[in-house]
Amino acid sequence: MNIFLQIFIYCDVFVLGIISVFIIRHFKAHQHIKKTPVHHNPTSQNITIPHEVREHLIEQASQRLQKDLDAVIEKFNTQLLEITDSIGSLTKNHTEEIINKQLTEFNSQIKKYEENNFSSFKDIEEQAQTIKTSLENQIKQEIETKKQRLINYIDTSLSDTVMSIVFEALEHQVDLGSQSQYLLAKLEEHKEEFKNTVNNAA
Amino acid sequence: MQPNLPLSIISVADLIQVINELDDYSSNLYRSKIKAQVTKSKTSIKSLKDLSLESQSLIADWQKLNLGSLEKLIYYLNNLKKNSPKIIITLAATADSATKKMLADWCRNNLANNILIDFRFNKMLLGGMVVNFGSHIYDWSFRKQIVDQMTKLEEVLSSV
Repeated sequence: MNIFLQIFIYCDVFVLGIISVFIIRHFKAHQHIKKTPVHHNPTSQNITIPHEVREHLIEQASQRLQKDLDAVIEKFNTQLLEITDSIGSLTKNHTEEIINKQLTEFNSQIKKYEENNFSSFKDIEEQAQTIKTSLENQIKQEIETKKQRLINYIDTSLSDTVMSIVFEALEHQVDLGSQSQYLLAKLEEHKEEFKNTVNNAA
Repeated sequence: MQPNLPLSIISVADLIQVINELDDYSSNLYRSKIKAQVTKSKTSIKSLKDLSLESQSLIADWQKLNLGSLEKLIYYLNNLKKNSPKIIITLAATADSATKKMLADWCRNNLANNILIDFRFNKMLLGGMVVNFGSHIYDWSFRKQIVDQMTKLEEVLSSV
């Protein structure tokens, strides 16, 4: 933006210069016209111009000056408008160009950031999923282990309880005589297996 | 043909006791004979009747089969001690003589002629028996049965 402001100021200065030149030239021209009769026609001092003519001449001169000034001003205005238009269009073009360029860069940056963020979000999501799965598995395993441990503990406790109850009940009443048939039956039941074991060992 | 062990000799300890007794008797007999030869007088020789019934039975069987001297019998018994199959039967109470004989009889009739059985007791078995042979364990105790039936017991308890 600074460049355009500078260009605008330079143009203004240029235009002011042109105007100044016109004014100075115009001023010098009128001064020369006034002075010439004084220097080159010294006799003219003696010429008496009637008041009406003089007034008329002054009026005419002022009208001409006014006309010239109006023309210059009009021309200046026209040029100023043209310059302003051209500066405006130039500024507009440049601004558009810069804005477009900036927008393009901005869009590309946004896209880049979006891609990066998307990929990083995806990575984070994958990592979170992995951690979640591993945690789930770990927790499941721990729960299963604890469950199994509790079941074993209950089994053992129950077995021990039943054993102690039965043991308390039978304490001094174990009768091997009444068990002899059971013992022989068990031996008979496993006779072949037992015999094979003994023979193999022998 | 060699004599079988009498049912009263069931365990290794019983066999060792008989071997020691026979060994002692043999030594005594030998010494008495030498003494009789030296002194040429009658010396009191320990009678067979002084021996235990198991030893008497073994000697009688041995003589019946005409298998040789007493030393040979002792040697044979020592071999049996080394080579006979041995099992350990654990019961829920101290086994009485009848139970021991019954089980020994079954084992000698069905498994091996001169099998030696060591009886032990563990009241935690509650009943039944556990038979150990080498590295084999046959657990036919009531305790084992209760433990095996624990699942059913749990089902019953859970339904209560």
